[in-house]
Amino acid sequence: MHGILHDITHLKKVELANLQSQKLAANERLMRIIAHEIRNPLNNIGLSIQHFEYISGDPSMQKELLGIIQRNCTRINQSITELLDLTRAGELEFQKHTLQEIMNESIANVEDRISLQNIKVEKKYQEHPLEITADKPKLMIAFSNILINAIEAMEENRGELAVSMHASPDTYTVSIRDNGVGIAEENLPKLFEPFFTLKKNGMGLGLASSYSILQSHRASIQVESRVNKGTNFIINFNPLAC
Amino acid sequence: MNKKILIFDDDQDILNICSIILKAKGYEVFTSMTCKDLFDTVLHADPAVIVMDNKIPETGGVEATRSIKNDLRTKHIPVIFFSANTYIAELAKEAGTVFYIQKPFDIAAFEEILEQAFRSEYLDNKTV
Repeated sequence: MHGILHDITHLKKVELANLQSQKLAANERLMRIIAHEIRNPLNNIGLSIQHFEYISGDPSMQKELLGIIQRNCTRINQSITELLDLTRAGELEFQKHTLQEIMNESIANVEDRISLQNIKVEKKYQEHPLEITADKPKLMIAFSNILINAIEAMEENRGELAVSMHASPDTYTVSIRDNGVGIAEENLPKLFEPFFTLKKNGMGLGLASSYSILQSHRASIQVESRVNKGTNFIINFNPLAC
Repeated sequence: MNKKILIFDDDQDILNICSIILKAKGYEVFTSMTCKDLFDTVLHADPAVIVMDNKIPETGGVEATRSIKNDLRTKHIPVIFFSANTYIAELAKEAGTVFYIQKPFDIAAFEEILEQAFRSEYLDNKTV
C-alpha cells in the first residue's frame, strides 16, 4: 500500500491568520456601527442642552428641546438593549415542537403584511412532523424576521413566497424563498451583522437577532441571492442536536 | 447676502435641533430626509450652503455631494459633510468637498464651519 503525505502545517497557519483577521475586521465594523448609533443621538442631546441657555422664558421651546433630549436618551438605551438581546441565548427555554407548527404560526404573525402586499404564499412541507427541541417564541422571532425581510423585498401584487421543508436522516432543512429585489453580492457577508440594514427605516437588528437565535438552536443558515431575481434563506437543523 | 441653508439628514431630531439653532441665529433653514429628487430640492431651496449627512437615503451623502459638485447649476454651492463616521475626512474628500464636521459637535464648531462655507461661497461669487 502506497500513500503520499503532505505537510499542511503552513496551510493551517494561513487559514487561522485569515480567520483572525476576518474576526478583527468584523469587530472593528461592529464597533464603528455602535459608535455611529450612539454618536447621532448624543449629538442631538448635546446641541439641545447647549441651546437651552439661549431660550430662557420660552416654555414651548423648552418643551421641544426636552422632548428631543428624552427621545434620544430612549434611542441610545434602545440600541444598547437590542444589542444585548442578541447575546442572551442562555435564557432560552427548550421544549419539543414541530417545525411545521412553528413555521405556520410565524407565517400567521406576518399575515397582515402578506395580505397588504397581496403576496402569494406557497407551502411545501414534509407530511410527517419534523420534531425538534426549540424555544418556540424565540424561533418564531427568527423565522418572522426572515419572512418580513422577504415580504419587504417583494413588489406589491407580484410577490411569491415559497416556504418548504425537507428531511434527511440527520438534517431538517427549511427554505424561505422570495422573488424580490435580491441582495448584492458585496452585502451578503454583512447581512447578519448588527445594525447593517438596506432599509430606509430599519435598525438592522432583525437578521442579526435571527442569526443569534438560530445559532443557539445549533442551526446553520445559508443565503443564496440574485439581484432582481430573489433570495433564498436555507436553514439546516440537526434533529439530534436540538 | 443669501443666508439660506439646506440640510439633508434622515434623522428628524437632528433636522429639528439644527433648524431651531440656526433660525435663532438668523439663517433661513430648509431640510430634507432624503436625497430622492436631489436637484428639485436643491434648486427649489436655492441655498448658499448645503449640509449633507453621510447615511442619507437613497444614494448616500458621498454620491449626492458628488452629483451636486458635478452639475453646472449647483457646483458653486459649498457642501459641509457631517457624519458620526470616524473616517469623515476621507469621506468628505471622496465626496469632493473640503468642509466637514464630525458628530457629535458643539454649536460653536458648527457655526465656525458654516461661516467658512459661507465665506467661500461669497468669495466664489465675487470672483465670477
